[in-house]
Amino acid sequence: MDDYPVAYDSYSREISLPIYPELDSIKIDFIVNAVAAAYHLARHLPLSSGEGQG
Amino acid sequence: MKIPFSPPYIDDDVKREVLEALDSGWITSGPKVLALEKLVAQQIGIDHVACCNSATSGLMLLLHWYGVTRGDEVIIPAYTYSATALVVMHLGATPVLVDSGADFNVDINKIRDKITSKTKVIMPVDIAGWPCDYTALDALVNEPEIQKQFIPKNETQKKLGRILILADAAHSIGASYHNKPIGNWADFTVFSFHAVKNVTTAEGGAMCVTLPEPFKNEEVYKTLKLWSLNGQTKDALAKTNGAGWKYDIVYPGFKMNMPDLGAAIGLAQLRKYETHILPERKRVFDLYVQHFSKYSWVQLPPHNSEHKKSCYHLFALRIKNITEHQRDQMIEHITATGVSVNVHFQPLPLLTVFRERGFKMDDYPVAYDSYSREISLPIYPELDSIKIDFIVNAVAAAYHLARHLPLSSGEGQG
Repeated sequence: MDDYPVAYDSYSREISLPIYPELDSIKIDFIVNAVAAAYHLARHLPLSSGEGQG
Repeated sequence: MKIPFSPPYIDDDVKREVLEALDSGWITSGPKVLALEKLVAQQIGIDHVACCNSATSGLMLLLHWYGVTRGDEVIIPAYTYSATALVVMHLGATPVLVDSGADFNVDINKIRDKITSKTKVIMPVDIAGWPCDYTALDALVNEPEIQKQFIPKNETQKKLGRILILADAAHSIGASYHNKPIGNWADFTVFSFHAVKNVTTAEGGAMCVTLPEPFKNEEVYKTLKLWSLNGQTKDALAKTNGAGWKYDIVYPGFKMNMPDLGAAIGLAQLRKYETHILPERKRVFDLYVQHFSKYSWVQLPPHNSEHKKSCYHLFALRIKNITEHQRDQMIEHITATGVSVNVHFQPLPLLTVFRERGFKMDDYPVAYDSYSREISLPIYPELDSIKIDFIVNAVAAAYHLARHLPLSSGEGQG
């Protein structure tokens, strides 16, 4: 794997999200919030920290 | 009257099962395929059946499992569908053709002469759903002289220690030999679920794993499932289960898996195969026998034997004393009445790819004779006695036209 560092970098930071016609804005909001919460949990940050919000 | 050759059996139960798969949100390999594997195994009376996307795929996968490769020979009938030979060629091995017996199936007595130290596999084919002589084949590959010739090239071949019997049972699900279903009689048996078969998944096949000791059939089943899905440790359904997304590829496998959508058709059909579809095919077959028995110019397909029971996949009629050209004329006349018929099969040496590899039709005279006089008639549950009368009359009229006999001559009526 060391011979393909860019491929590994992309793989190691990648998560594919659901994408199909039946997803309405409520579901998309739900997914986005789940991803954001997961990021905070994985980074051991408080959910209310707002880190990364533009 | 329009009579198709072999429409698929689609009733409300089939539609319901397919809709259930569609509504479930899962249409590729999943619970329906596993249920179909279990039901086939249960009906055949064996433990391990692995479904795949065609009988052709199954045959190729099993040849690969046995390590068949360049320099090896595989004995097959000259009278079969081309897939039996093509799977051998895909692996770089050489198909060795053997002529037929009177019942369309490969002549077991002629196989012996074709066995060499390069022979790794024999692939008998149950033409039209009529079983081959499996006990004779088994005895042949276990003869000490034949075993002595066998040169194993890998651990699997060493373990078996003889030529593998891989039954191409594309036609014969539901047939039996010595009162035991086909699927029990070879090292592996492959059924076809192609659209025109007695049981269909639109496209599909099933591999029956019945190797002798010391093989562990459960392990072989798992290997075949793994290899039929790219050598991937998790199928797509398992991968969708939350955190279980991570998989590995542990073998350079193939993409040969059956989808649930197709398995749903097969499941619904198989549930009523023994109780309805097979008896109905037999009814049609028996009616043809009854009608055609009165014509002296007809040679009926094999159907009556103490040890063999057909699954009535084809009604392969042969006409006595006609040429290939006259047979073709008969087909034209029959088709003109609205009845669709077919020919099973063009022997391999008649086809370009085999002719160019040096196979000559003259070397397989029985296969040519059967082919040149053969017409396959429609056979399926929806054919009532009126339609069967119509088909029989169309065939009889076509015979008279092809032979330039007056229709009223009554020639050949007993």
